[in-house]
Amino acid sequence: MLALVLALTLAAPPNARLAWERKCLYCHSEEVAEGHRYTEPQWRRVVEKMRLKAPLLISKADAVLLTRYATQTLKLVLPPARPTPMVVAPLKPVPVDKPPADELKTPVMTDLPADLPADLPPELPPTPPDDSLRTNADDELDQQATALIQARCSKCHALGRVYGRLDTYERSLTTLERMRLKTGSGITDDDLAVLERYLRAQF
Amino acid sequence: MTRWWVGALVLAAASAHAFDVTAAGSAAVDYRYVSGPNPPENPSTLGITGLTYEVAQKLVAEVGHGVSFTVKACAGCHGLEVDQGFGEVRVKRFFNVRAGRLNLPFGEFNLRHDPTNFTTPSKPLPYAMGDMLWYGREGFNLGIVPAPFVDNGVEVYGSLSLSKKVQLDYSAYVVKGLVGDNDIDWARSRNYLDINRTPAGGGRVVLTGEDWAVGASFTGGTYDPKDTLHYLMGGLDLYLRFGPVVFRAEGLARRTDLDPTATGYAYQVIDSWFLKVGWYGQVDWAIIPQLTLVLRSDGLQHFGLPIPESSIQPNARVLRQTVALMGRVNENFAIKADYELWTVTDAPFTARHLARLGVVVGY
Ligand code: HEC
Repeated sequence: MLALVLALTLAAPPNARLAWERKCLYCHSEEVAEGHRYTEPQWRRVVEKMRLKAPLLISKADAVLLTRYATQTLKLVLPPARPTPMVVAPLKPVPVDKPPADELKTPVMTDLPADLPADLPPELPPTPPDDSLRTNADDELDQQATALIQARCSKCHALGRVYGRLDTYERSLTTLERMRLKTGSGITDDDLAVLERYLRAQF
Repeated sequence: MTRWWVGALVLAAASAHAFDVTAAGSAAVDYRYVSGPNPPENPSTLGITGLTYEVAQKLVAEVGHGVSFTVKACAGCHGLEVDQGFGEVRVKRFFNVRAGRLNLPFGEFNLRHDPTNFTTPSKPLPYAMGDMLWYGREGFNLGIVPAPFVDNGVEVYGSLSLSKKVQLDYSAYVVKGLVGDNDIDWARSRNYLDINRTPAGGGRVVLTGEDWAVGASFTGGTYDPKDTLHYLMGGLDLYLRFGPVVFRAEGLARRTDLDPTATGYAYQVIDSWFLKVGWYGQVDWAIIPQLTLVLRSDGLQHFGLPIPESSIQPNARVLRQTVALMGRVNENFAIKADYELWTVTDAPFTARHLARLGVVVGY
């Protein structure tokens, strides 16, 4: 199994693996990010939930790439939900002769498997962003903004905890403004304009 | 008393959810091992030789219209202290004001004084405090400037665009000033009440470009109750980034008047002042995003009359060479380790090898 995952990992386009490592393994270990299996729509929702924790780290375009990486490269997918408890928790198979009563009663026709947390933001669109409407300019903006955040914020923040703090549009803007005015920040008007445009697209 | 005002205001704001409040905090534990017999000690509130800690909690309340309030409390070698407690009005990019208990922008490192914001387990020597070897009055009596450089007063600051990529940032302030008794005492300088009539002033300018910055800082004032003993500090700093490699260098100096009427000087008093110069050069190389290798060389040079309690000679010097590693476990947690070689000239201290291991948590 490990070998299979390894083989698949190596076969993946290198930048998808790199993005996965840099972004999904930024806050937690592989055990958390790769220890779950979901259906494809569920992966989209998990990745969107993660994106909302750190929208400056995981852009909308990243979310598409990373969902694809989880489902198609790492193949951390469940077959479409069927009403059997075995499918709900394939990683810890339940002895067939003694299925836990409540798990049997749980309706599994919905998107949510048993281990998907219930606190998904209710306002989330059922189908998260898809990349068909994206243009080259969008990609360029993403790249420019990501590079800027790395270069400018790391000048003073050695730990990189910046991403988790910038979690709403207003807070991100005021924080950027306050940071820009730190004497010697090196954040220019142009930088701020790029970051503002990028932020507007992320929330 | 102002500190309780600001604190109460921010807490009220936080509980009422009236404003957007951002919280951030950090904690750092550092263990150091010094080679040889009778190693110089450092203050350890935990009572364990060589072990120090520092915790800080900060709240920023954004009230709207560019107004915000910041409170930062920290605890370390000197118990619980208020590091920041100020209100800030962002008027224009080139003109903004903050007032209250400030962190003064003296030097490049001072902005990054929180352990989550620098890569080595120890501060550079010009900014060294209790983590320095021979830091007491019998030795070098600390570095050039404290980090954080906390004082009460008013600061105006802003930024001017010189071209698309180049800008000039400035800050100018009027504050209570440093305090002491025949040389400056950093702990007493953080008291809330002034001890003399003359305010201190200072400023900093930084020219920044795409991947570089050069800065200059100065400050001065009187530090005794009678307003007769002056101090004057200046510094120059440089920052360069080449992709994953960052180079920083700073040189700082402080000229401090000594009390000519004090007794116990080991030398005849001709000029009743001394000059202390401190510097560091440091390269940070992010080998991979999670791991940074640091090479640093820093030093502190004394010129002139040593204070009466000190056993150093007029031209005493301490040098340190450091190799450090910082490993980021995740966005909140990092491990720092280093090896430091300390050498001294013109002082009755012996060279020491020092190793540090630290853990830093930030959120
Ligand atoms: C800003 C930090 C952060 C980033 C970046 C992040 N996560 Fe998470 N992740 C968390 C936290 C915190 C939890 C714990 C559950 C929670 O609070 O929602 C978690 C939990 C999870 C879980 C467990 C199921 C769950 O929802 O609790 C999975 C799977 C997961 N993350 C996958 C990912 C993937 C895939 C990415 C990259 C797209 C990613 N994470 C990026 C912080 C992050």
